[in-house]
Amino acid sequence: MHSSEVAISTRSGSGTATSVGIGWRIIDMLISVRRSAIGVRMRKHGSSLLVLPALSVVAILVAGIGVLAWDSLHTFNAFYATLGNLSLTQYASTVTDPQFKVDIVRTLAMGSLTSVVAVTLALPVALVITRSKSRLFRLALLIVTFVPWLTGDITRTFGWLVVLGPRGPLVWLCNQLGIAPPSLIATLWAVGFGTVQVLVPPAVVILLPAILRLDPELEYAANTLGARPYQAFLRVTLPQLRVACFGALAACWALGMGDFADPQILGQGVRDYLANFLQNRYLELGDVPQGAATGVILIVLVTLGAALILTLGRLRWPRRLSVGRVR
Amino acid sequence: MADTTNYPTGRQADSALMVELRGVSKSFGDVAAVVDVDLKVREGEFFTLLGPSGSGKTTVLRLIAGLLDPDAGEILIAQTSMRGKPPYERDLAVVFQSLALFPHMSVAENIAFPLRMRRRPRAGIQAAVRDALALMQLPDIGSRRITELSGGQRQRVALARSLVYRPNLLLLDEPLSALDRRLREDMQLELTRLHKEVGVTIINVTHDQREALLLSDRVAVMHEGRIVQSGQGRDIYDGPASEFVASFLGDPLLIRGEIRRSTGRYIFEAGSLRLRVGSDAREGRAVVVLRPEQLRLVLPGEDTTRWDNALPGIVKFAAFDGTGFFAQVVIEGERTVTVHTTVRDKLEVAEGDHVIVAWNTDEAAVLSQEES
Repeated sequence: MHSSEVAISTRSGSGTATSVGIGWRIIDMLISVRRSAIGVRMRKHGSSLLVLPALSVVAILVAGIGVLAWDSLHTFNAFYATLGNLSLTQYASTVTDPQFKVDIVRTLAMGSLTSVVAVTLALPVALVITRSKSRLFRLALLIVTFVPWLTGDITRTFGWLVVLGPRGPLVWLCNQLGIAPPSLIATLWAVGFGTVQVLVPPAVVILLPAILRLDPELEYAANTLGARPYQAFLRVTLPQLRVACFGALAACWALGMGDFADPQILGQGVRDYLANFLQNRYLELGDVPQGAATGVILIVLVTLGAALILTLGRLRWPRRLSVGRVR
Repeated sequence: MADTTNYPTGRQADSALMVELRGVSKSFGDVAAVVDVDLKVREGEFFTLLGPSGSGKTTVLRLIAGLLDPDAGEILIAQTSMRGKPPYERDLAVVFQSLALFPHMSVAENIAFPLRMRRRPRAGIQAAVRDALALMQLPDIGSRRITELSGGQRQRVALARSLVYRPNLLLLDEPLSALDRRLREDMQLELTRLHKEVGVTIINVTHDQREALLLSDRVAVMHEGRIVQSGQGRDIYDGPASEFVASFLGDPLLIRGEIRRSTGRYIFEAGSLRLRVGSDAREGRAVVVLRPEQLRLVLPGEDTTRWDNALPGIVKFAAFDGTGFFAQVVIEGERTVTVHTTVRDKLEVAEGDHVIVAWNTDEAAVLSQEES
């Protein structure tokens, strides 16, 4: 009950109304001040406050990375499993580790390749989704594209294992066609297929809004000005999607570089990425600081790579045609 | 529809056909956008398709451009059938309503685009772009981005891009509609200058009757997917073929009634209203078209004998609009007729004034019932 109501009811009920009323009125005043202050703050910063829950999740992640970085900067006593002095030993031992060298090259190469392939595949998918006149076809394409997202990572990857495995449909199809079935499990092909499949949906999601913003009349104009459809696409449509394509590429790069399930399951432990190397050091060998150093290296690589890709996307190409001053 | 138009100067009358549509129809689902359209546009002509929104004029333009395929009929450009021919092989240019300038290219790159598509040599492209910029009176903006241009400059760049490769045919899809009045009028004059200088055949689409009359050698009025009348602008204005054409060209008062012959004269009767009409009128049901700019306001007491018709009325609304007086006058106590006087008339009226609305028989079109 609000204090003013208490004061009124007390006043009408007994003769001690004045002394009780003053006490309540002070509390009433404090509550009013508090309420108005909150009201002002809420009105002023209301929308900003809504991002707090999401920011706190990010903050926890940042704190975790901070701890990771701190751990990576210490020596480690494997017998007692304790951190020692501040040192760059973990980074030195990690980058000189032969397995790390193999895994980082594989991660960089596969991360780059699968990102490019995923964006290349996503572009026509996004174009068809936005331009198809059949609502049913559009819906079907959306479902097919996003199914990998709707299933769990492990389920999806084991699905690939079945498809590519010795009793899978690929081997059956090859046998039916009378050709020798390829042995894809534990190869980079299998890892690549799995990674690309998981990268296509985010690439489509990033490209869709940019494609929706395109003015279809620009392509018509290009056609009437003499451009064949492929020329109109390459010279008019694609350049306008450049920023979105590079954005999708950066997102795919980040996701592809951090892939764990595909190299683990489809690579059968012989086609490891950095994430698998990290897991091996962290959990299987219990070498927390080296695992942390690997994590930090991976984060730095992903961040720098994504920044580079985004920067490339925003670069203005030099003008190729100069006509000088018109007389 | 046979091409029976009297050409204005005779300069196009003998020239070859540039565009011909034979029985062209196009539907979108259940909606018939273009219905059995026949059209002939001659080389060097400035032809305008005029009509309200949804009349099918833009669809006709897109069919000619090859951006749509007709359901029926045939389209010929330079006397060659366009059946199965894509837009990029039709040797024409389109200036779209949105202008469709490429935002990721500079002005010069936009203008050079059609030349690059035609694999012209680099030096030739630079010279052609320079000439196009000079023709459009756009000095020093070749390196600017499209977003850095004003509305008028964008119009000129779009025109320069369309004319730089000297196409046979230029299609204009209401490119001036988004401009403010002053700029639109400037660009209209610019278009007539370009048409004279370059000599390209132009098919223009607009809903602006003033623009159609001002720019065009000939005009075709479209309504519900059909061409309902075509000819020289003045002919259509003076002799509309239907109530729709009469009401679309201007803001006239249409009075339905009957024409009788009485004592050697033709008299139009609508209720208590009796008007004299021209001797070329036919007896029977008819519609009289009273256009604001063809009527005059006369003050009571002035001599009205020089007018064939003079109807007393009371001013309901009057305002000066910069070019003259715009007045709405109630005649016969029931009909409101709009009159537009010019500044030269030096006549000022106010609400409630008693006036006389006067005109001669040749200043009011008469549609016989069969025509309307």
